[in-house]
Amino acid sequence: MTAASAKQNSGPLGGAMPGPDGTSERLSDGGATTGPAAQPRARGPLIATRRNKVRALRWLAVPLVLFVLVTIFGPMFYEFDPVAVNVMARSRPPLTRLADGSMTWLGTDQLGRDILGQLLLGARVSLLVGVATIVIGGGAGTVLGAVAGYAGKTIDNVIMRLADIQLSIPPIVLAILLMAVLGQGVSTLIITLSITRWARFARIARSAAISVKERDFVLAGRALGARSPRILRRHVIPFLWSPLVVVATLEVGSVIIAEAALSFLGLGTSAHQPSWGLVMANGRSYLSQAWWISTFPGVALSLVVVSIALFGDQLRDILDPKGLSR
Amino acid sequence: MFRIQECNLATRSVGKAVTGLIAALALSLGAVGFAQGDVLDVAHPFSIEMDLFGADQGGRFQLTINRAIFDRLVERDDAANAFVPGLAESWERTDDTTWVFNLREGVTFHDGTPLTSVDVKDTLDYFIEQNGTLAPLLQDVTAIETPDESTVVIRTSIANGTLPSSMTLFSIAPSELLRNPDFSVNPVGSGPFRFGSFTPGTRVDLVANADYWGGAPSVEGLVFHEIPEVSSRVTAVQTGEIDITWGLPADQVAALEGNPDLNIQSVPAFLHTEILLNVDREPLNNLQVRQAMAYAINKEAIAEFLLGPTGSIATSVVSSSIFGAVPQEPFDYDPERARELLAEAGYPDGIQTTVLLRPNEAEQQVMLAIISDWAQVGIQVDPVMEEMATWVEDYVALDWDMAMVFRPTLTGDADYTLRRLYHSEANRAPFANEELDALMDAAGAAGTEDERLEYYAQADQMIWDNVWGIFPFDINEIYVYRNSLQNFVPAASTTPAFHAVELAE
Repeated sequence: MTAASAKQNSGPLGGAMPGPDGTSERLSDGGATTGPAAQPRARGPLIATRRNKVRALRWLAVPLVLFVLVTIFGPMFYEFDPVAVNVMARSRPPLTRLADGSMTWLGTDQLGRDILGQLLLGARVSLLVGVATIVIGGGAGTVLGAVAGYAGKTIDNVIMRLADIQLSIPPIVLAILLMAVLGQGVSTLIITLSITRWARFARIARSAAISVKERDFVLAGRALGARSPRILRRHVIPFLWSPLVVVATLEVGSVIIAEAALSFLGLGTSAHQPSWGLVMANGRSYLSQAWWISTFPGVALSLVVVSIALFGDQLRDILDPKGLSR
Repeated sequence: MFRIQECNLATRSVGKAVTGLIAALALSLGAVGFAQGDVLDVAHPFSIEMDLFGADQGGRFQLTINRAIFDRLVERDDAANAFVPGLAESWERTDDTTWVFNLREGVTFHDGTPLTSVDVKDTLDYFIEQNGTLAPLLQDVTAIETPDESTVVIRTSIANGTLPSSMTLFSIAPSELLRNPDFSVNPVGSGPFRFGSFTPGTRVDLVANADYWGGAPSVEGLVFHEIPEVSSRVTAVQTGEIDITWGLPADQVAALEGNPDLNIQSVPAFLHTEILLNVDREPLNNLQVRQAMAYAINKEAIAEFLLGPTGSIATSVVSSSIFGAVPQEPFDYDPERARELLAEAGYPDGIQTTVLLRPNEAEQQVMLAIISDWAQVGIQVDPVMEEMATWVEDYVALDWDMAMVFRPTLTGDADYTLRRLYHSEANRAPFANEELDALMDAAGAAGTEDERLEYYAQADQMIWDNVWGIFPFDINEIYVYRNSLQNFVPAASTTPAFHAVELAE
């Protein structure tokens, strides 16, 4: 390490300061490190080195991985029939042994349906709707936004005005309309949520495309005769990757909440497809007698969404410090 | 820190604020108008819709509030379950197709104008024109004559024996005002309560009519509050904010049982579960399939554990408290027989169909329980829940495999449901046919109650044995009201009257 760079890295009080790539160097050892290359040393866990950030990310990923595993494999190991009702076991509290000998871990709802079973199936709905909406809505939004940003002028105007129109339609009204036309169910939910969320992706893709449009390598490509689709595909879209991954992660949480909200209002899944929002709605008239019906799906929802948010924030710290994804 | 002048300013502005606050409180208390004890506060289970004579003129909220503001030719005595004179002191059937109503003298509307036969005629004509949900009750009417101020003659195309019971639903309005566009939000009637004010989404205030011909009400005011959420209504009646409410599911009532200030009464209502089967569609066009569905429902379990005090097993095509409900051979719970019937019908692996539902929690819960029983024998039914607007469209267009509602028979007479809805002219039932029409017309026309019952027995049996509909339960209405009330009659029609109620403190 040269003296010049050592000076660059010191702050007004002479202490350590994060360098441009997020690493920091302590200077008290005279700036000399042994070994062939200046490898950053492992620092205490609270110092924001890249390595520490990635380590934190791995920890934050644990609840999400657990969620996905439980969602996919849970219903295979836990028997639950969403159609069957058990009028003799209505509104039983958690940890009750039922007449047929089985144990209800999280209680039963007002029709005797097991809450844990409903949560497991509901997790599948949340995950499916979350991922599908991001893939469909996010994918469409990204493409539209990148095209808008790169093409500019009229195409940009048209696409952005489309986004404005879509943002001005209240999502609930759109959900009611689509449900009337397409009927209840998961596919209607995915379509509704995709339509209400593509604009966010479009905006980000557009600003990234605009910022990359005038870069040298893009101009060089155009000078060499590359056509727009090729440039978009090979140069613009890879540039968007980092901010988009961050947005996609954060949006999954947002979409899961929106799905719960629509299901709560009766605009989401049908009664035979328990969704967390639907179970919460089922319990809302029984908060004083059977609090467990609404509480457990609410807790599950909060845990999942907070985990996603923390993970997404950490991801943003690592991948997108410039804040393109905000 | 503050200078003296600023200190004074601060005190003055605080003083102003406090005065303002006191004034606001005083005004808001003043707006209530009465001492708290003289007003009856009611929470109706359905939303406040101030569209009293419009398309949903037969809606239960409309009928309840109209019962307070207006009078009708014939009234129903809820306690005695009988028809008593209203605006008409007497009525008679001069021949098969003519009814004559003799109006009482000296009745005036709230604005002082006298009520005459012209008002009766114009109001009934208006109902016929509007073609709303009550209009089918007047479908046979050919002419309404007013030979003098206190006589109304109604002529019908075919013999109609149920006209007086239908008249309990038609509130009479002043003919000059009825067609005003804002009549619904500013109604003028002749009833025990006059209209006070309406705050959309919150409340409707009615004031006692001191000059009412039937005697002024004991309470000074009647307020309908808008509290659609069941749990909020329960809380409101516990705290005393509300004096009367009804339409509560059994679960909610359990919490109130120990309360010494409250009276909880479960009343057999003119209400039953009606599941209509669309016999124009497969596989419901097969009688054995329909029979299988009737046998597969565990009615005892659902009635005991789900409905509790709010229901009982039905014995006929309308609730047993209705005139014209003749008990039929029950379809006892027999899943084995159901499976056999399905196999015989050619569906050994079961069937798949759908049922149309509206956003009513009680209805949906009962239907989900029934669907669960059906799934046990291989009958897969998907619940199709639609928003009210879409539901009405699909329901009336008969765009369903099955449709389920809690059916009210508001006049207490089977004619209201059978002839109004199951007749081919109404086009509301896929199974309507001439044979059934003839029976129901005869039942409506017959001169004596016994004759009518004979025809109803046949009509009921035809509908029941053909399983054109499945009618598993009679529904009770649960009323909750404060012990300090006197003379409140929980009505089987679920549209109670309030003018005899006293608030004893």
